[in-house]
Amino acid sequence: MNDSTLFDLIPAYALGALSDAERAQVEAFLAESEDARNELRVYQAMLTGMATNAPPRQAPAHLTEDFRKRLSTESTPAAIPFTQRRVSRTRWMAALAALLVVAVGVLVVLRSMQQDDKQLIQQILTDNAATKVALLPQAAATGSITFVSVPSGKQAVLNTQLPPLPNEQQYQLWYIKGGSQPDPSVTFDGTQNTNPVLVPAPDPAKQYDTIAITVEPRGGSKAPSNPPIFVGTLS
Amino acid sequence: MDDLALISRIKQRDQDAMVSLHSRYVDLLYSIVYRVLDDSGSAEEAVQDAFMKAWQNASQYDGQRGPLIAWLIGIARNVAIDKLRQRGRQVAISEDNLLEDADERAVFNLPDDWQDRERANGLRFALQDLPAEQRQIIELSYYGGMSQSDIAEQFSLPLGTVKTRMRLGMQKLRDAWLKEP
Repeated sequence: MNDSTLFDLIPAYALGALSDAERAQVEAFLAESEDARNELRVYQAMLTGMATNAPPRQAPAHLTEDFRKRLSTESTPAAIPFTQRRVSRTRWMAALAALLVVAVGVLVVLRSMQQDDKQLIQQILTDNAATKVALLPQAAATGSITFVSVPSGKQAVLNTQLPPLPNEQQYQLWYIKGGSQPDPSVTFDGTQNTNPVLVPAPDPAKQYDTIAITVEPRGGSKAPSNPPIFVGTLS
Repeated sequence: MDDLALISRIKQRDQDAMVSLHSRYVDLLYSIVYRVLDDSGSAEEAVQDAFMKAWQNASQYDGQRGPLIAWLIGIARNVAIDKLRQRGRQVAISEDNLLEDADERAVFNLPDDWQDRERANGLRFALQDLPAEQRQIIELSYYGGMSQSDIAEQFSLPLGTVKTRMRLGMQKLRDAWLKEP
């Protein structure tokens, strides 16, 4: 897709209305284009304005007091002890129904978390203060990676375009200070398309100066098994 | 106390400040979640959950990235869309009279120092002037969390038609937004 087409996708991106593949392409474009980021900011501000034009409704009067009570009692619920005993068929059915409700709830939470991740990726990529580091390919490595971080951010984005690996392997991110042993970070998969990956930001206290990517067994390693395929310098 | 001062206290776990924030914006967020859910019971749950999420994630709010009101609206919209999906329902399509279901008593609190306050007020006319098919597609996406392909499938429209209507409608709103208030 050329830049003009990608630019035209920004309104739909701001709405969250794109397919996964289109979204990934727009995010890669945003990482590289300040004009695109500025345009997205305009649409985001406009959508906030649009939301304030929702048909106005007065919230029920008790909500704020209810919220006050909920805040003051916010605590972790106690664990419910499990007791073993024979259960009737009816109770089995009820237990199965409850399990299905929990499974659906977990799926909804996972989808909500995915939506939050997408929003966070968008925020980092469009942040005026974001720093971008293009990692350099080593030896015969193919693809590209850009590391995007924001000041004081707890998370960063790896904008990756890496070929898929065999099922038993994954890419792994490492943070390195000087000649010290690399500290392992997250693993991720390569895809056919551009793929932004949310990663923990480097710990400022550890003063890392280098990031690297290696190929590791699926699930990652505590120490690199192979030489890095991409390396970048952190400022 | 302005929004920045309020969120600063909330980050320090000041519950009174959080309750003040709730009081300040509950009508606005309730209206938005109600637009999504079209049901008072669900809207009440959603708005409370949204404010609780804001409390739990207050440390993540960064004033450099945008006004507090935008952050709150984003949280409320996401919570409401999650609830809508949980119920397996679809957002209602608005008819031409956008204020048909409005509560005449309701008046939003918008921040006095919000630089886009006048633009937001002016956008109301642009929304009313938008062709219905463009406005409805934008609202299905914004309030209903629907993708372009979801909309095309649900309403038996060519995907290209959905894309075009969405792009044209959003561009008109953008142009209206950027006009001097």
